[in-house]
Amino acid sequence: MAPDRTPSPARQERGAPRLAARVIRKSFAATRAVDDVDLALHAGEMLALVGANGAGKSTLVKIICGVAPADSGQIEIDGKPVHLRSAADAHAAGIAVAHQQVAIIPSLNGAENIMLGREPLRGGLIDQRMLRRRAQALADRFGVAIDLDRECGELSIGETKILDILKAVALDPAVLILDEPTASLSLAESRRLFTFLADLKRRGLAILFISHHMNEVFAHCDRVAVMKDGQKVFDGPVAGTSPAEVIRLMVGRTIEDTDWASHARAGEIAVHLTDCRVARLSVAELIVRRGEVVGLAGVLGAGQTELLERLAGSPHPARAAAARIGPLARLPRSVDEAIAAGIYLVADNRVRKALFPGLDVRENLMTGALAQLSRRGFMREAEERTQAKRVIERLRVKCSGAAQPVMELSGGNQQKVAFGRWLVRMDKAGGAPPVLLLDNPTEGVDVGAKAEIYALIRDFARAGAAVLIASAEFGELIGICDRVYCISHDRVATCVPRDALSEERLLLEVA
Amino acid sequence: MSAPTAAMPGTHDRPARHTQFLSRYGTVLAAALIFVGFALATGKFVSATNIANILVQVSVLMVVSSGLTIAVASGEFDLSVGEVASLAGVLSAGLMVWAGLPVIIAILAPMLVGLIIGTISGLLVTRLRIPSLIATLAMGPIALGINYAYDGGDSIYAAFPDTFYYIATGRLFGVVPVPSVIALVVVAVNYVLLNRSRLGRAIVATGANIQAARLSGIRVNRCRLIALALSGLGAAMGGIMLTARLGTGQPGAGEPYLLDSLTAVFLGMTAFKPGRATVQGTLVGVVIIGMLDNGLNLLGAPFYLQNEVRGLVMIAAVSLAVLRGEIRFF
Ligand SMILES: Nc1ncnc2c1ncn2[C@@H]1O[C@H](COP(=O)(O)OP(=O)(O)OP(=O)(O)O)[C@@H](O)[C@H]1O
Ligand SMILES: [Mg+2]
Repeated sequence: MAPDRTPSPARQERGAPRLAARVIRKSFAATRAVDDVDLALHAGEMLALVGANGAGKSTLVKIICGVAPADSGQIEIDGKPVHLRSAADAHAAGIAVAHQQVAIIPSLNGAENIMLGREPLRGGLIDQRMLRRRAQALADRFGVAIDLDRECGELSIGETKILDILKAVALDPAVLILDEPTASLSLAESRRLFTFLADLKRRGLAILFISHHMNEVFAHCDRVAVMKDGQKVFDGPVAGTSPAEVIRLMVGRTIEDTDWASHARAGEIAVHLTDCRVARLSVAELIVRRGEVVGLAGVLGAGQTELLERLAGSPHPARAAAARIGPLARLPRSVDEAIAAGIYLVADNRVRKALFPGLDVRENLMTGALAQLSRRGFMREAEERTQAKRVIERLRVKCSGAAQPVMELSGGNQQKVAFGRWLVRMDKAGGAPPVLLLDNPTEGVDVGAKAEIYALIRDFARAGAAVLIASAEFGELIGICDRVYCISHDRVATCVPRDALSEERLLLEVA
Repeated sequence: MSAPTAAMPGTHDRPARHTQFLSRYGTVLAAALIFVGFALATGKFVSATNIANILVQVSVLMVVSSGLTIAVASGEFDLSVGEVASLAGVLSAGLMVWAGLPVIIAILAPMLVGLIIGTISGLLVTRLRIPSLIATLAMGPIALGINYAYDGGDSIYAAFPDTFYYIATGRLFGVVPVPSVIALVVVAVNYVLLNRSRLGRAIVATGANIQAARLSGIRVNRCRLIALALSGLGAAMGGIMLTARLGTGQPGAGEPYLLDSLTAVFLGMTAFKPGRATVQGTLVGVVIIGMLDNGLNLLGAPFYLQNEVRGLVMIAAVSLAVLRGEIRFF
């Protein structure tokens, strides 16, 4: 592991940076994902790396930590060039990463995951007691209250994310890289994360922090580097710039807050649940009118996913005293029935539930509307192509073309494809305005694309769609919702009206 | 889908305990029921000699299945275990009878051959990136070809040295059958390997999520290679034990062990830790198969019924596990 590194942060600052990436370049076929990027990271410093979806942030991180080879360029640690060929090499060089996708083994428990690959041994065998103790000590140090004896498959997404970060910290690294750590954390969890990052920083750690949230960048980071289309277009102290300026650099245009207006249609109730229970979550009453965007606030894994999936026809155990959803006077019996009734779900965890990893962008977009896009059993190629083109343009999906495999897209662009599937369907199916169920629809989506998705959601609402959106990101609910239901202790409890919405209020309600 | 992923702290112990118990021990319970059923049906079943009999009969399968369990735990398949067992069996016979080599060489050399074949499979998987299902499907016939080249397709009949028969018919302290002792030692070693060693932890992590394991700094290719090598080793050991039991080196002796060991591993994946290949689970699977074969034999059931019953047990165990929503195969 990393040898001695105790020099004072101040002296390091002036000497060679802890970590330096020099003229890193990496191409995938035609896309230049990282284009001659230089990046320096000093001890005791927290550097934010921001950029639109597909700008090349994750690719750069993978190169820095040895999991992907660069085409050219060099990595230096404390001024000395290093050759990193695997994650293990990077660990040995003192670089630890919590990747965008968690590296948690669901069948092992929390303690085993934190210590994975570095289990303490006694007599050649794993010393389970010692392992448990070390993991617990680490968790205690950072005030993590997760039961480390539970298998990680049973934990919520936010909890596995926290364990993944702990696992990186457990390496006792000199450089800590966090790729969108807050995307799946609740507001409370994020705040705790930042306190402990501040603590690490004080101890001289160099932290590279990737996020799509400007408020986090400007509140907690010392410096910000902006990537656009593979190139670094800005690098400087946060004090010398502003969120608006950074966003303009990222997406190439300014994003203005659109005026919000309710489109709710008073008498037209599209979703109405009374005394409903889905899995562990009970709902006394939930109403969504046509034209309304209604939020579901709760920490990730509070049961909102099951609720939305059940409304979209998935077979989660449920009962309801009365239910109306779209044209149905009961909960849908199957996903088929729900889709036929115009009830569309954009599921969380896109890779597992919404996308087809082996297929390309166009094929993925068409999966929601196969019947509408075929004639006598044959797919209508031309129609498919125009639809794909339309959606790619409308959502600004960054891809080399409709034929690019969907897994090659950056995270945010994958999410847009998941969203785009229903655009195709709605365009072809017509009929009454749909019921849209959105489960964390902007997870990992950049500010520009987010604004587009929000505008899209508002557009649907204006056209009469009823939208129910679950999100752990309260800022987003506050931005687009008419009302927000809050989940607390397995119950959909209070409903907060728009004029009373604030992060603090929601945080209190979901406690 | 995998285990419920959405529980929050403090609320997770709500799902009824008994369903969890059933999903963990349902297969063990089934084994117990089969035991009781046969015991009631025929008195001979529970006699000490018969139980010793069963233990001897399943020992070869247990050794082969243990190796396969490690391969499956690492996320790989090994479809060559049957042919590797056959090859090792005839090799050990030939080395004693034709080459006149000492027993210890006739045991160690075929084990080495199994290890090498497994290693080759592992290299095919990790270096050439051939899926293990295909790599080992190809290594099987290659092993069979070597087998035929060596013995011309004929069995090797002859009296082996007495010490060799000891691994099939010997009794430790005059009571415990040696093959069962070997099987138990193999089970114990594998149990420690998978549960208590760092290598085993890495193998299990690789099998559960190779991407995550790689990002955790685990050398996943090394894990897969070692797992497949150990699978080859287990198959070879089983083949040698089989030759000692049969008293001849038969070129096709190991063949049935492929399907039997796959059955045992899959049955095992429904026990203890649903969805995961564990040695203790495989042991339960092997015992179930052994009891069914033996019990139906004792009852004088026609030979084809054994196959029917085995298939049905497999379907029942797996479908129950899947219905409970606790399990995911690959
Ligand atoms: N394995 C791959 N094959 C082909 N192209 C790839 C591959 N990985 C990434 N890319 C491309 O490289 C570019 C950069 O992707 P990267 O994942 O680094 O973006 P990102 O900045 O992390 O975006 P996000 O904010 O969405 O996570 C994208 O255009 C993407 O399509
Ligand atoms: Mg990324």
